Amino acid sequence: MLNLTSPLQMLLLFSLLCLAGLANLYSISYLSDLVIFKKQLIWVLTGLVIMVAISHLKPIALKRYSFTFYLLLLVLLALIFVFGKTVSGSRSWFQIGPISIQPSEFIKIGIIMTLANHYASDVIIKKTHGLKDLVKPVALLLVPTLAVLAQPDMGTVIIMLSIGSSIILFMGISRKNLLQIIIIILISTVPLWHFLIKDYQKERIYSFLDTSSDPFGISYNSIQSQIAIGSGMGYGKGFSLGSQSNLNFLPAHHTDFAFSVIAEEWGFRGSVFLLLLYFSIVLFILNIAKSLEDRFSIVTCFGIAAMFFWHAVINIAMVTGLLPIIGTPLFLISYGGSSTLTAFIGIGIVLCLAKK
Amino acid sequence: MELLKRRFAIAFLVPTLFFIAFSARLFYLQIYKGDVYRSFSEKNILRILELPAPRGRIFDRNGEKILFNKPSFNIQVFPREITNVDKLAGQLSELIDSPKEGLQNKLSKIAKKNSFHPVTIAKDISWEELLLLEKNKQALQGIFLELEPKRFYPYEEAVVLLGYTGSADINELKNLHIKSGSQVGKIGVEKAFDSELRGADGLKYIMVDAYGKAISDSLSESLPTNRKDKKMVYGKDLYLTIDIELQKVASEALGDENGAIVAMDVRSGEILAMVSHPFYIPEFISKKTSTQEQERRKKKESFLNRSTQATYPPGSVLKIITAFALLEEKIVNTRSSIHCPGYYFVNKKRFNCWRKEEGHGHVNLYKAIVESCDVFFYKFSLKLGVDRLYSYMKQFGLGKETGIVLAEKRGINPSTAWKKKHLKERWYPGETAILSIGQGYVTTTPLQISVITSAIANGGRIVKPKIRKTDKKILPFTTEEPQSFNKDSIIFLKKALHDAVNGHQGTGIYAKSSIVPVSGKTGTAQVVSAQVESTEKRFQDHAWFTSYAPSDSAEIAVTVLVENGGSGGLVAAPMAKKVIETYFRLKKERSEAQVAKSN
Repeated sequence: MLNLTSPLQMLLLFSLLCLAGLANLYSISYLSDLVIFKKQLIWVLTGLVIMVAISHLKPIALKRYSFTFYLLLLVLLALIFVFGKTVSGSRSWFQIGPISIQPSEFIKIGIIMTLANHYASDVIIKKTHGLKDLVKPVALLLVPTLAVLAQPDMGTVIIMLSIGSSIILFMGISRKNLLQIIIIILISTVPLWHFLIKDYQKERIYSFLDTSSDPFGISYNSIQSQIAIGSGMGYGKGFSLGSQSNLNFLPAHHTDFAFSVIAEEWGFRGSVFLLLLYFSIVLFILNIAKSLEDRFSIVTCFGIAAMFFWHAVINIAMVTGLLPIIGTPLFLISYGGSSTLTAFIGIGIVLCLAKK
Repeated sequence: MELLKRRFAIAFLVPTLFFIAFSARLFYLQIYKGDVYRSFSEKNILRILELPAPRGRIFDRNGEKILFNKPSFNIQVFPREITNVDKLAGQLSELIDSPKEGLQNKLSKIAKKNSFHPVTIAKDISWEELLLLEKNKQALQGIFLELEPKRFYPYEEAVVLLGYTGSADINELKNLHIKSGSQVGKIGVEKAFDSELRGADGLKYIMVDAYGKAISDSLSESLPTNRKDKKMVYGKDLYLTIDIELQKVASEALGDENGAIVAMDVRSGEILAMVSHPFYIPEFISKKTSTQEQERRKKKESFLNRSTQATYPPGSVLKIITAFALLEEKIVNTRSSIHCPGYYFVNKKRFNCWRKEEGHGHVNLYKAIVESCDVFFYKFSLKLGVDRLYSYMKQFGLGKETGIVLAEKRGINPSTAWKKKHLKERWYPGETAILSIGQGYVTTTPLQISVITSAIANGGRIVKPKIRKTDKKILPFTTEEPQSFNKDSIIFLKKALHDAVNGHQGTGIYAKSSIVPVSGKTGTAQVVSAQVESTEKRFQDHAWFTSYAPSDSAEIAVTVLVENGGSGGLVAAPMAKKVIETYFRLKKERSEAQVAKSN
C-alpha cells in the first residue's frame, strides 16, 4: 500500500528517477558513443555506494559532524579561487585527473545540516524569530553564498538562497520582520544590480522579458527549449529521435536542458510523468520529515525536500520559458557528477535519519 | 514541535501547487500549442535545397554550340555564422575587388538577419578572386561559394538573334508559375523557345543540424505530404537552322554599319543567318551589378533584332511586287513602253525618277526593273490603283507577320481603307505613284522582303521562315493560303532580276559573282520625303539589296538592309554577294569533306 512516510517507497521513486535520467542520457549520447551516458552511470553507481554508506551512519553522527562538514566545504570554496578551474566564465570546479568536482553543489547539504544543527540547539522553538535570532542563520547562509557568487555561479546562488530562506521561513519569522527583510533586500538590489550582476546575466534577464526581440541572440536557448518541449506534443517524437537535441538546436541538452529532451521525445505523457515523479519524491521527503521526532532530523529532511523542490522548480521554469536561463541542473536528469552525488547524499541522509 | 508540524501543511501545499502550474504550462506548450512548435522544429531541421534546372543548350544547324552554360561563382554568407563583421569584411576586401566599407555595410545588415538561408554578397566573381577565396577558405567563417550556371555566348555575332535571359518579372512569375528569381528568356530565341529551354527547377528537402550542415539527404519517405521533393527537369537543347559560319560572315559583311542581313533557304524557309547591328558583347548581359544593368537598359535598343523588329520603307525593292501586279492585272505586257524624261507629273505635281537629270529614255518593264526606272512605275501604278497593288502586297505577306517564332513587327501595307481608318483621309493618286516604288506609307521588315524574294526564287511559293531545325527530311511549304502565281510572270521577273545584277546597266552590278549566278534587286529608300541635301548620316537613304542564287535553281535568298547606308547598289549589294559566295564556298567545302570522309 502507498505509504507516504515509507522510506522504501521513496527510494523506489528515486530509483525510477535515476533510471529515467540514465535512459534519457543514453538517448542523448546515442550518436556520440554513449560517452556521457557511461560517465553518468559511473556517477550514479558511486552515488549509490555513498548513499548506502550514509544511510548506515548513526543519525547522531550526522548532527555532530554537520558543522565540520560545513567548514570543510567552506575551505574548499576558498581554495577554488586558488586551484579552481574556469568553465564558461565561472570558476567553480576542481579538476582531479579526469574528474571535475563542484564544491558549490555539496555546500547545499552543508548549509541544510548546519542550519538544522543551529535550530536544533535552540532551547525552545519560538513561534517567530526576532531579527536578532536571524543573524546567525543568515550569516551561515550568506558566507558560502557570497563565495559562490564570487565564482560567479548565479544558478547555484539562487538555489542556495532559496533553500536557506525556505528553512528560515519554515522555522518561523514574524510578519513585521519579514517585511523589514524584504525592504532591506529591495534596497540592496540597486547596488547589487550595478556591482555584482554581470552584463551577460543582465542580458539574460532583459531577453527573458522580451524573447521575441532577438530570437537568435541571447534568448535563443530559451526559444529552442520551448520548441523542443512543444514539438514533443502528446506522445513525443520517440526515443533518441528528438531532432532539437540530436541536431544541436537545443544547447546543453545533456545538462540544463535535459528535461526538454524528455519532453521532446516522450511528449506530454513523459514530461508530466517525470514532473509527478519529482514532486512525489519531494512530498515523500516532507512526509518523512513530518513523521520524525527530533528537530535536527526534521529540519534536515525539510531542507533536503526544499533542495529537490527548488532544483525542479527553477530548472523546469527555466526550460519552459517561465524564468530566464540561469544554469541550474535537474537532479539525476541532468548530467553532472557533483549534482548527482549531492542528490544521492541527500537521499542517503533522509534514509539515515528515517531509521527507526 | 507541534508548531513545526502545523507548518508542514503549507510545505505540502506549495509543491502541489507548483506541480499543477507546471503541468498546465506543459499542457499549453505540448498539447495546446504543440502543432505550432512541431512545425517550428520542422522548420529548424528542414532545408529546401533548390535545384535550378540548367537551360538547354543551343546549336547551329551543323551541331556547333552557339549558346551554353558555363559555371560562374557567387559568394554567399550564412547570417548566423558571422561572428565578427569587421574582421570578415577586412579579410574579404583583401581577396576580392570590393572596398571594405561596402562589405562592412552589407555584412552587418546580413548579420542582423535571423535566417539560416545563405545570402549572396557578390555575383560572378573572377577566376583570380575564386582562387584566392578557395585558398583562404578555412579562415573565412560563414562564407561559401555558390556555383551558378551562366549563359555563355561563344559567338558574339549571334547575340542579338539569341537574345538573353533575366530574372522573371511579376507577370512572368504569374503566368509561368515559377519561383521568384527564376531566369527566363527575355528576348530573341531565348524568349521564343523559353518554355522548352527553361526546364523545370527541382527542389529537395534535406535535414540539417543547427549549424546548417546537411546530415541526411534521403527524406522523401519521412516527409509530410505537403512537402515532397520535386525532380529537376533539364532544359531541352535546341537546334537552330542558323549556320554560324555564315552568320559570322554576314556580320563581318555588315561591318560597322547599322542594319540587318537575313539569309534564308528559299525552298524550306530555313533561316541560315540573321544578323542585326549594332550589338553588344555578351559580357554586358551576364554581369548583373546595378550599374551595368542600367547600362544595358540604355543600350536595349541594340538588342532590337532589326531583321524582324524594325520596319523600313522598302524603296525600289517593292518594284518586284508592283511589276508582278502590273503583269498579272494586264496593265502592261512585256512590250509596253514609255519615255522617261527623269520626272513625271501627277496632278501637276512633279515626281522625280532617281535618274532625274537625264532620265532613262525609252523604258519597258524589263528595263524598268533592271535599271530601276521610277517613272515607268509612277505611270502604270496610277492605272493599277492602290487597292489592287495592296492585294498583291498582301499576298506576298506585307502588313502581317511572316510566322517566324521570333518577335516581329508587321509593318504597313497601305490601302484606301487603311488610310481612312488610320489617318481619316482619302487616298491621293500621288501616293499610289510613290507607293509603287516603295516609298510613302509602306514599311517592311528585312525578313518580309526576304520572304518575297524567296517566293520569286522558288517559283511563286510563299514560305514561312523558320529558325528551328526539325528532323523531318522533307520540309513542307507552309503557306497560309496556297498561292497560285502566274508562272510566266515569275519567269519574266526572274530574268529581269538576273539581269539587274548581271546586265551592263543593272543597278545590282556589285553583287555579280564569278562563283554563282546571282539575281537581285536594289533599293534606296528615302528617309525624309523632302529633298534634304545633307551629308549628315541620319538623313541618308536606307540601302537595300535583296537577292537569291543560283539564278536558275535558287537555294539561298539574302536580303541586306543598311540603315542610312546610301545607295543600295553600292553599299548593300556587295554585302549580299559576300554572304552568297560564302554559302556556296561552305557548301562545296563541306561536301568535299564529306566525300573525303567516306573515302
